[in-house]
Amino acid sequence: MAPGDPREKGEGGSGGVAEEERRTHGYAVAGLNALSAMGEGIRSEWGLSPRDDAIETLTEAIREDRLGVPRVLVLDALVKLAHRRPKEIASGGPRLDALLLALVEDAGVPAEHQARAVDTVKRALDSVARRSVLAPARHPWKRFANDVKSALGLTQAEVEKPLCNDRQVVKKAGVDAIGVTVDFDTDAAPAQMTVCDPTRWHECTAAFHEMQPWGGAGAVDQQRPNGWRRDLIEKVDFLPGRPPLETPLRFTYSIDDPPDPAWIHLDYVLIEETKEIAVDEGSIDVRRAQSGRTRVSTKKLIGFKDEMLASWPTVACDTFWSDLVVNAAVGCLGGGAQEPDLKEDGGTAFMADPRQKQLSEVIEEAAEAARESIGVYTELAKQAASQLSGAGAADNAAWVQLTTKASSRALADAAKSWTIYSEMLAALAESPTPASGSTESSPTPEPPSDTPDGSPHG
Amino acid sequence: MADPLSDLVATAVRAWAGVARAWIESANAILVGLMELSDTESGQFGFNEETVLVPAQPAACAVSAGRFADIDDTPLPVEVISVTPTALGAGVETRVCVRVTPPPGTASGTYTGTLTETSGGRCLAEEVGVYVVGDRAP
Repeated sequence: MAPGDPREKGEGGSGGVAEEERRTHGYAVAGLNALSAMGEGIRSEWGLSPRDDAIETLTEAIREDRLGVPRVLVLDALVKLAHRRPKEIASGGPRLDALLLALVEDAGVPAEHQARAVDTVKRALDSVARRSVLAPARHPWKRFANDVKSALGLTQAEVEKPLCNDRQVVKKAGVDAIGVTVDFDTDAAPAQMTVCDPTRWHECTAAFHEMQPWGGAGAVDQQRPNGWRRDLIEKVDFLPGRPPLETPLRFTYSIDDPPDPAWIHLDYVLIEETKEIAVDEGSIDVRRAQSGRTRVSTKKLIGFKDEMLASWPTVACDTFWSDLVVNAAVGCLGGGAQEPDLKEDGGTAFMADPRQKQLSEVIEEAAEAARESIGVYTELAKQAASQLSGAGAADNAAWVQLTTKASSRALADAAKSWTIYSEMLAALAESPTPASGSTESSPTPEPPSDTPDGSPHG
Repeated sequence: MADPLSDLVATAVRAWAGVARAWIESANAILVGLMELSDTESGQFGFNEETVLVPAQPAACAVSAGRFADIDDTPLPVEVISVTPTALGAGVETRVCVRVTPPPGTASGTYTGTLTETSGGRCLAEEVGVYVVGDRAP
């Protein structure tokens, strides 16, 4: 590795950690995600270590500064556990506390503030665990990351961790293949985004081995004017006790004017079915946007023949694909433990209890929601007017679409109103008794820097 | 100083809000238990379709797909590509969805093309990439 290489250890990431360790920590994260996605029942069947063992493995690695996966993947696994199986977080006990403490220590939080920071992270997980039917608008990760960014010194790239969407199902080759899409923006130039080059996927990830040439009949190995096309065997290893998945794929890599390309694109497709996989194809596109940032769009269609893997519909998002994409998004290393926000007195500016949202904030949110809603209805009205005056006035499909959009918006508004009402109740119920005659809620007090254990001031 | 009546009213409001909130949280917990909430991270689809934002046009016009071809410059038959909506209003940005129904023999991969004005062929959006799930490798 060249000096100054961003993959060098030192930013809380995985680049300098031995491949075997990365694999072990990848197994631990995959184990937690398998537990949250599939439940405890599959643990022994799939040869996964118990939850507490996985947590201990990660805790030890963080303490010894040799975590082989981006810490954001560990946090993501905890958020998934809280969201999918709230009881697992509630019963996490001292082992979970130890993991959170290790994460806080790793973030460089001063010793006297660590208990408070751990408490902040626990409350944020509790907040994710309290799922709401009426407030599904904000993604659990976004809520969590926003709540803990100061306590854990999350970088902006970590806060904006790519979200993995696996909602689409495409029928192909006799299986229901899952369509996985992940998009994110980065400040890195396209040339720095090695995620488009499959021959480099193994450099930072936990799951991917180095690609090997495929030697089957009709194997392709072409140099092209703006890239190459090659048949390679992808070897992915994310569950202990199972042999890696070995998949022959045809990769087509295209690049615009190196060394400073405006775009790089990769297409890949399964050459022949394997024992476990019937469908595996997709693309990765890295492109400089008008904003000057770089847009990364990944698509993966994966269909398993293996019953165990087919029964885990979120497997790609929970394991190898997030491993690859999140590593790309956080600089291959998982970002770093930047200094937590410091107040003037040197204390750490931890977030207030997320449950204690101020009344003024709630009112501001309500106003913002109303403004947004008015904007949407204005847009819909414009479309309806244009539809009425245009040649397609009798276009039923367009009217159905408009009506559907308006109804969806009305439903969303109803849910948002209910949520805001609930939050106003919370703010009212938790507002401190006024010291003066004013009935306005007073601002939520800053956590006292001299009571690091979070105990209230007298 | 607050008068005793204001304090009493404020305390009563807080007590009422606390009870109402507890009721809402209980109802929410029951509903969460009854409903299987989706674990999807976003609603975005990415295969055989792509949605692009077409800039505002000076006048209303009809939109259709131009030529879409893969990296080997193999084009898709025009009849397998549809766009929704087909009519653009004047002065408004519009999200247009391009859908492909790949015919047998189509190679999987990204097909890039344009959206054009139906009459006149003026380009409305370029470099629109659609990942098409075909039945063979390129």
